[in-house]
Amino acid sequence: MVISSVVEEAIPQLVTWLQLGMNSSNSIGKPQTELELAATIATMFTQGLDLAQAMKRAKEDDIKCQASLEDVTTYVQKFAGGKSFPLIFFLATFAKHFGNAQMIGQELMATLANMDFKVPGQLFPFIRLAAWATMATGNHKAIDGFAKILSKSDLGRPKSNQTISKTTWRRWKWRMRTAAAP
Amino acid sequence: MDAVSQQVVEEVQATMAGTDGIYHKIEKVLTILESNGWAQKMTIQPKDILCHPSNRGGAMLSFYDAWSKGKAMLSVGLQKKLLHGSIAREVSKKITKRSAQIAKNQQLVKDSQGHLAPVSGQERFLASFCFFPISQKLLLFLMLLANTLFGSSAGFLSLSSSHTVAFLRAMEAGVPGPDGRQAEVSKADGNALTKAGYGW
Repeated sequence: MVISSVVEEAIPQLVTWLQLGMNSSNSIGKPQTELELAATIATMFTQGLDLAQAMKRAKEDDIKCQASLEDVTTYVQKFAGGKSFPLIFFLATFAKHFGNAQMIGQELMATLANMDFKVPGQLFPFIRLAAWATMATGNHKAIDGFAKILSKSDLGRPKSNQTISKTTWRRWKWRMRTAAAP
Repeated sequence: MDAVSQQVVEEVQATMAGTDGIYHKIEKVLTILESNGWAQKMTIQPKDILCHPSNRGGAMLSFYDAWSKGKAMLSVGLQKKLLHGSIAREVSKKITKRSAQIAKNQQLVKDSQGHLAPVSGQERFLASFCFFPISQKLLLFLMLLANTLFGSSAGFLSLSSSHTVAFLRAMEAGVPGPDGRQAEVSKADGNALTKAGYGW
């Protein structure tokens, strides 16, 4: 079926909805990865849907990462860089260079979305972004459709006391230097 | 062309928000659009179809996946009947929007490191004719004419089977996959899909 271009102008949400829905109904569909799902949810937010509506729409799709839906949504809400979700759209663009087609799995997605660095006032969105970006290069190192570049314990390292103390110390020194500069 | 009436917009939105299964909702929406002249069944060649820039939240498609799916299809034999019933929309009639849609596809091809078929950049809004009351034969003639004049008549953006279309386009263009090899398919089997097109 071919739809007139005028329709999208009248109903902007229609194409995202159809695209998502056809993954369920088309026998040759390709279920979305966590990153594609995150970008789709971010797009729904920008189209004016609220959290409940976006999750309801996403649940209609035959996403393999259905179990990660809540974690993906949490990530988009907290660590995507604000209103226009620049970090998610950057990541989606970055992943295209690697033909990213692998999922990262429920355990890693939950860790990315929920790991607590225990540093008050710091969410470390770029550490999370760097980890996900690394996973997005993983077509060459995948098992059963899951990228196997980083493990849960790898993700735990940046938040260890030793690493955080070095990071915050360096950050403190940098702040002091910046403040002292004329 | 007129704008979509408020009644149709409301009917579509109510169906989208309904409690039916997604399958049924899509069918109902397409029926509403078709009965009001905003959608129609067509036979289109893959080379006339680009990827909608909003697919997968703007990620569009993965060249790696397109090839992996395509090679899986080749290994069991291309089945035209399985490809019917996909959804596309015509490229925008507005020049700025159309240029942006084509630019996004060109960037997608650039990012694919040569594993997707190039976009000619000469696409015309042939699809605009789709919703004029002309016969399918005349439409096919116009597509052929545009192809002869401009090298391409691409005028559609896929909303589903985008990976399959990307693979068929790459296969027809003869570009290599991520393993460095072109798709191996008999001319007859390939042409049955690429030259003859299939139903959308």
